Amino acid sequence: MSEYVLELKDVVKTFGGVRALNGVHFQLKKGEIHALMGENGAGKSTFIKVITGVHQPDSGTMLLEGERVTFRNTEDSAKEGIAAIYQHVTSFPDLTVTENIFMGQEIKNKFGFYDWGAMRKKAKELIGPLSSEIDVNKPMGTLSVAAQQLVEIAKALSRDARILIMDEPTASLTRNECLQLYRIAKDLRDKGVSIIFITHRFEDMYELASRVTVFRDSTYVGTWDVDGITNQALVKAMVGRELTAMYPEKTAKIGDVVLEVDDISKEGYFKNVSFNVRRGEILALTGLVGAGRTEVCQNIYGIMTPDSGHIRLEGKEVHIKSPIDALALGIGLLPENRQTEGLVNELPIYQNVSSSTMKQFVKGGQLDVAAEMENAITLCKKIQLKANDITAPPSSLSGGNQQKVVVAKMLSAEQKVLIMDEPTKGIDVGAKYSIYEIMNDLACRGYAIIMVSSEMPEVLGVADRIVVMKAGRVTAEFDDVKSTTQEMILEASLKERSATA
Amino acid sequence: MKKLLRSRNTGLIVVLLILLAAAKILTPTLFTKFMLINTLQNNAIYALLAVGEFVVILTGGIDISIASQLAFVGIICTKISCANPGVPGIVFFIFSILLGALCGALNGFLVGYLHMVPMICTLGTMYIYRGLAFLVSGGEWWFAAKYVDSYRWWAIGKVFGIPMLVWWVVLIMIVIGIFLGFTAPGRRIYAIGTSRESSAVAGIKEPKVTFYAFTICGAMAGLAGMLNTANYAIGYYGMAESFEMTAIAICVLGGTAITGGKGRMDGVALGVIIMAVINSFISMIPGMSVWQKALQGGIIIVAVAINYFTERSAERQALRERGALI
Repeated sequence: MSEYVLELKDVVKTFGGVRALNGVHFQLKKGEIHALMGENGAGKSTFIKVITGVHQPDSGTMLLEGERVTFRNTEDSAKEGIAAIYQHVTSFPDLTVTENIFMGQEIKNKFGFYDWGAMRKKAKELIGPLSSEIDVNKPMGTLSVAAQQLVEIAKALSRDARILIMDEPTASLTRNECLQLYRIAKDLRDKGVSIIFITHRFEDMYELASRVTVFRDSTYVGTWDVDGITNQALVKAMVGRELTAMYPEKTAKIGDVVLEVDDISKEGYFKNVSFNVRRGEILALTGLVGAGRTEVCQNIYGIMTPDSGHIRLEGKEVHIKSPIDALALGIGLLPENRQTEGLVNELPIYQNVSSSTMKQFVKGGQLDVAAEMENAITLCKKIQLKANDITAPPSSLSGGNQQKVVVAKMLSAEQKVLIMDEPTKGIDVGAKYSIYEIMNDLACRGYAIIMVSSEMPEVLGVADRIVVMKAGRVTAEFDDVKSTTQEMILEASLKERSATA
Repeated sequence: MKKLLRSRNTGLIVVLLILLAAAKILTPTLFTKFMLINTLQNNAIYALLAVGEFVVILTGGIDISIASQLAFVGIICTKISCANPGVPGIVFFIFSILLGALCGALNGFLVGYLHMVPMICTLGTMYIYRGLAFLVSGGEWWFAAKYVDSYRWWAIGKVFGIPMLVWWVVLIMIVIGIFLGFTAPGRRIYAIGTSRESSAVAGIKEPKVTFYAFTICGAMAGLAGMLNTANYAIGYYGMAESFEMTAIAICVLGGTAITGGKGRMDGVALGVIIMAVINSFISMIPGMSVWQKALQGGIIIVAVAINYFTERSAERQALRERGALI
């Protein structure tokens, strides 16, 4: 009997010449929560897929309870009690919760037909202890991300999983949902389930894990006990160099008010929202997911138009009916979902950069491709984009670099106000730092920046001023960031208002 | 009750009742038993094709070669039957299903395993099967006198006063409906139509599912080929041209999402009936026959619009339930 329930040694996996995993090791003890960390592109996701049998390693060994195993597909690993909850929830949005739970292991009656009644009953039994609010007859797509993850957990439980892999489960959860997930994960651990927890957040690791393994550039860096490690040491392990500070020094001079949002309301989304942002200032708009922050930004940017209230740009009232109006006035938006809203994956990087300013490069009815590319190269240099080939599609880049392309796209036209919705969501420590640097640089050049963010350390580290929203209303504004604490923001984002639903 | 009101099928039934009421007022002699049965019989071929098309659309694909498959299989059955009048009809009934399945399996192989785009792949096989139908027929036409009764019985023979053709449609809708709703291979069809990525992770072999979905579709088209010749006692290579469009229209009318993963057999059945009403009754109303095609098209556009808006409201509902809206 081995000490480890799962052990991987010298695992190598290449994709057409690219080494995605270069001799990595991993040891998972029974009943432990083991954090797996590393920058994007470090090989964590590939590693998970090797464990679950989606990919087969080129070489190396995998031991389960001390015995050598090879998985040809996910069925093989599922049989051995390994379940994974992937980063992008891999469920069937149009099918019901019940069907999602039992996909691949349906309960059938004696004639071989689905026994929907029995499945619904079992689904309720599985979901019940996790959440009382999930209706098993609803399509999966109608649930929140957090609820979908709970369903995935129920699915894993229905298979008697003894090893559960969670790939960045907290990335899109609110604070309360995270706490709920922590509770459930600890519960499972106490029942003897071993959990591999992939995360970018130190908070997750400290809260849950007893040990942490770090990958960098497809290689194994090391494994440590969580008790004996510092943030700095971890960051160094992940990035490969010392990051002296998590946030760059703020150097921009703050000037006059550029954009003023005055008492705007949108039925069903938010009410009486007012704030302003100055030249050279980074304003953080924070609060819980679903507080209406994104919607406020969409109203400023003209994706929706507010029912009432005024928006003033440099003192003049503006009526923005569409993103085209917004861009013409000098207001840019970096959407939260860069994959779907920010980038066109079928087009090369340079065309993505110029996609909203294509007109500039039209000379005599013809597109001046050379000028277009030159512009893209200049911008990509400015933001230090790590790309070998700007004629390759953005999907060839890591998450952080993809985000930089979206930023470059926005910089392609001169802007006065830049709205950035969760600019560092799902990107790693190193890339985060360079996004902050870019923001700082833009602020120095006189941009007014509105940053929507749920990550409190980021809000406190980057912003000059903080506006907190809760359920569609502004509940607090903090002008002096230095004396603001996480607790103060949290309190404001949970503040109850009698008028809210 | 709320659920019933929100259901799309309830809306379709209302539309149907309005159409029927209009038809009733305009031509009072319409609702005879003869007319009703005749209408069902005339639209049964569309129904068979629509069921097959429905299965393929659920995977997120489309098959525009079904009418050509119908002609190809229909011609072969006709030719063999005319040359060998002694062979009983049941042989052709089974043979047509198998031959159709083979035609569909080719599509399924090309789309599933060679990853061809369904629309383009079946555009190619549409010409191939139509061309084969021409080749086999040699351009010859077959008329009533050449068809033997044992062959024709499978479409026009009556049980309880209802033509066999209609019985087949009912039977097949039930069988395929149960297959899709209550068996693992059937649910896999919905699964790959909903999300290919999730299917892959769940260990569902998408090529295999695509393959058998197209095969089922072909089997339906083949059967429709034999029954079409048996019903009308006419066979020629150009028969049933553009029927695939009607089949697709029926699916859409019945609420099937053209992107796959969503749709119900009862919706398809309603789609068939509404299409039948438009095709048959409306064209009998004096002065309306010239409007038939335009009306058909208009109703499809309306159906798509309704699909879009029910989808939108469902999405908003979902958002609200997720707590994203206040």
